Amino acid sequence: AAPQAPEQVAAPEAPEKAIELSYSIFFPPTHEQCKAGEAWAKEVETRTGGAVKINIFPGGTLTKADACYDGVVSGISDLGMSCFAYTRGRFPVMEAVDLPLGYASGTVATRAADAFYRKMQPEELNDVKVLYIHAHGPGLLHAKKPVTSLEEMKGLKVRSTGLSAKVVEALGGVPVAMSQGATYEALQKGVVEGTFAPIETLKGWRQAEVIKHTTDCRDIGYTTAMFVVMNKDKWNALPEHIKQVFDAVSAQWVGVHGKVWDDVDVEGRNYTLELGNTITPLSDEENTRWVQAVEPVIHDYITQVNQKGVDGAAAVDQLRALIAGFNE
Amino acid sequence: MTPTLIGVIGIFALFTLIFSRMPIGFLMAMIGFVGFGVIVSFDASMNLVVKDLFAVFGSYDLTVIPLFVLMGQVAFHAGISSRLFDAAYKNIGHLPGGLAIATIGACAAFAAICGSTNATAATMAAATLPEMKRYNYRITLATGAVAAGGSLGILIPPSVIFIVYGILTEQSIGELFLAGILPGLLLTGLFVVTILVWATIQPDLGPPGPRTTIREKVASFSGVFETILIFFLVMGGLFAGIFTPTEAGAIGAFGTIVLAVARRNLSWKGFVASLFETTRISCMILVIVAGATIFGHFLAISRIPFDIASWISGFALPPAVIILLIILVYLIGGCFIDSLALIMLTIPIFYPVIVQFGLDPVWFGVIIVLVTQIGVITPPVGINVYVVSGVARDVPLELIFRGAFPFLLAMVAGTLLLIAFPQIALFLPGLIR
Amino acid sequence: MGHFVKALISQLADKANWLAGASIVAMMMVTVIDVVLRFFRCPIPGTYDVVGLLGALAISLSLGYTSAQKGHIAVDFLVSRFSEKVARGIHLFNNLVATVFFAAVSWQCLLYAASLKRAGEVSPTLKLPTYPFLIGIAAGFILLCCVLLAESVQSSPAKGGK
Ligand code: NA
Ligand code: NA
Repeated sequence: AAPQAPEQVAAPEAPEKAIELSYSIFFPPTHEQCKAGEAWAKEVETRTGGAVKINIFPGGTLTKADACYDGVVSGISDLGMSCFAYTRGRFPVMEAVDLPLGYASGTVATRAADAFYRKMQPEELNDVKVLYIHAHGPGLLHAKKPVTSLEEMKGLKVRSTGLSAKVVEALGGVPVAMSQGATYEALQKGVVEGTFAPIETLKGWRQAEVIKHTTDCRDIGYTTAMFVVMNKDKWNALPEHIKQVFDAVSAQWVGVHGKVWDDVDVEGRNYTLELGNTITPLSDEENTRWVQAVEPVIHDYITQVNQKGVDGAAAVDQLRALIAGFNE
Repeated sequence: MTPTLIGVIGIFALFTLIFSRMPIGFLMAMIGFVGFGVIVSFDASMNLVVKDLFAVFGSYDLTVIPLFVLMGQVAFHAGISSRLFDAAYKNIGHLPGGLAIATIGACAAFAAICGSTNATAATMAAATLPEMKRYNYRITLATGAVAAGGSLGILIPPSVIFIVYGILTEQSIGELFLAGILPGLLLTGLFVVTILVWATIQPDLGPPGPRTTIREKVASFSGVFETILIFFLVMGGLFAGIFTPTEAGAIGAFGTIVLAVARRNLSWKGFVASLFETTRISCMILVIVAGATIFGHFLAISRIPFDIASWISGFALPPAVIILLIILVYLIGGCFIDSLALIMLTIPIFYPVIVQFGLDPVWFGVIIVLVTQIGVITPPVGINVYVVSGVARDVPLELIFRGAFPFLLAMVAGTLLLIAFPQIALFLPGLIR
Repeated sequence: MGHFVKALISQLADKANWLAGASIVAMMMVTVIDVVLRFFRCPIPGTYDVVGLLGALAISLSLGYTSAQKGHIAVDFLVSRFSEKVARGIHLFNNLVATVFFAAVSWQCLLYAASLKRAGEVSPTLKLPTYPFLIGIAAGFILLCCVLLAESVQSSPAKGGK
């Protein structure tokens, strides 16, 4: 999936012993985002002429999703990729990215999330070196029956956690929390009647087998921002020219991940259609109602982080501007 | 020292020090801690230990263990399981090892509710071991049957491993679940045959009871009423989509308590005894799971699983030999690492090999589940044997391993049958393909 | 004096185990009520968070009791063939090693709790702070250390787990 980078300046002579780094990725090894992370690692290895070697531990085999960030801080792994949302409260500024702001695509979400981080430089990420940020395409509603209005949404049991649970609640649904892995069975048996997720999960987690309809509500599409970070001591110990390679490859890979998110969304879309499921966009009128309905979620975020001394309104405005820019 | 060498030393240390009478969970955690510390740093290693302990103890999905254990304990203290076994004795007690056969049947039925091998073994051990003892069954047969029967929990859906395998290999989870049913029943059948043969050769293992009249048989069913009620409450709720398999533990325990209290079979004293047994058994199981998780992380960072997997898939050998080698990896790996972690580490390397040989991925998933489940009853690290030994505290570990051995042969036979006749796994999914 | 301390530790382990038992009952009740209420489409928010955290408490708080009851599985068959004196020596050594290890674990738990408090980490849905639960886990491990130490100073020959 990764583009072939042009040969850079002749790489420095391969040193006697390569700098070995461990990289914990929470995605399962067959997920395209894990492969994109692997491609990033390969690119770094190539462009440093083998001075760096990166060993990947996929699927939480070294640190689980919610332990990944702390794992990098404490050196369990040298690099880590996971979601900010798994450690709620720890990243008040970055939490803004996950709000239902209406991300049109994975590329928009990824570009906006990365640019947002670079603009804000939040101090909550000071204990690591941030390489880049990416984020999935719009989180949509997938249900066992068609949902085209707020009325049909009322009382619907929807798998959702954290912030997306707030969105479900704001839309009048009933949030039910469980792990992504348990969702398949819960949908199959009807313990939940729907799930809020990017459309790629319908293929990646095989959930298209157990739902019937997708409501394309992308104007309230939320996202989940993901970090790729490095242990600070390990980073500081790197020679300058190697740091430059890391930064250059990372900047390039923001685009790679964005595109991969779009590609997997297309695959998820095709897969669910192939299984005979339907995808219905909301009518303009409903769209406005849904956008209004989730407004309190954004408002809540602002008041809550204000108490922590973070200017929530500024963060949301910044993001809205970025999204508008990238949406074009 | 290379990480691989440190990993090998760690495995060797575990094999040796396990005989020092250090609790197994503690030992795995400590060796994992030291090994990870040597490879990475002791600061990171200490952090890893605490994170793993918190993650395992606080895992939502593992809460099925204490709750199902509580269900089994209450069923025992309220006499529910003893009435069930009286009925079983009246009906199949005249067969050699009849009650052990009933236990295997109960394990298979319970497996349809529970997706965890440990929880199945712990629940069934609490409910069935005292009963088999009451009818003078030898403890080797009784404990061996429960330890092996627990492995049905993963093969018969719902099953966690099938879900993870399905996601990793992009196979339909629905098909994998279907594919597990017949092999699960086959294995159940093989266990029954094992008991019949073994108890016929050694009649004192499970002494046959007197033959009973039809009237006695029918009358005995009044004792099964509670069990059937609880089973239908849990199965019904699961299939009607009222609760998830994880929640089934809480519903089952609660239902059993309410029923026992309503029928005035459970005293406060009995309830407290059930609860104290539950905390002890759950703590014992989760400490071992946590220890295995820490040890597994040490092995992961040593890169041994990757090394072995890429080494084997790189051989220029006939497919059949490679497949047998892969099976061997899961067989041996299943002794050290939790099956889920092992599958996550190795499938990405082995899966392309399987596809390249033109083998059916769904069939291969069933084979892997079966093979990793053999590891739960083989020494030195066989978690189901530990679980059973934690419930039957007066039984030496060696005796349970010995009791589980004939069932091990049955599982090997099951694996070979599945290799020879892939249709056993593929027939049901074929109907919907 | 020694007897008094040992009795105290044993009582504490017992009390903590009561709390562990209560956590399991609470886990069961919260889940049952949630399932029933969900049937009527108004479940308890955050059941998922609470049940996991209660599970962590249940297991940690029964660590001491389980150890006192010789509930942690160990392989006995080699050591039981040695003379009583050697077996006791091995048992003492094991207990001391385990005590040192778990004391370090408790300390690290407290450090981790402090860092979570500083970072303001909360549970995903209910936004309960996570650090008090880590203090609970630390307490469970401290109790385990006490039980192991009390056992080590025991004068009678150790019976050991299985
Ligand atoms: Na099962
Ligand atoms: Na084993």
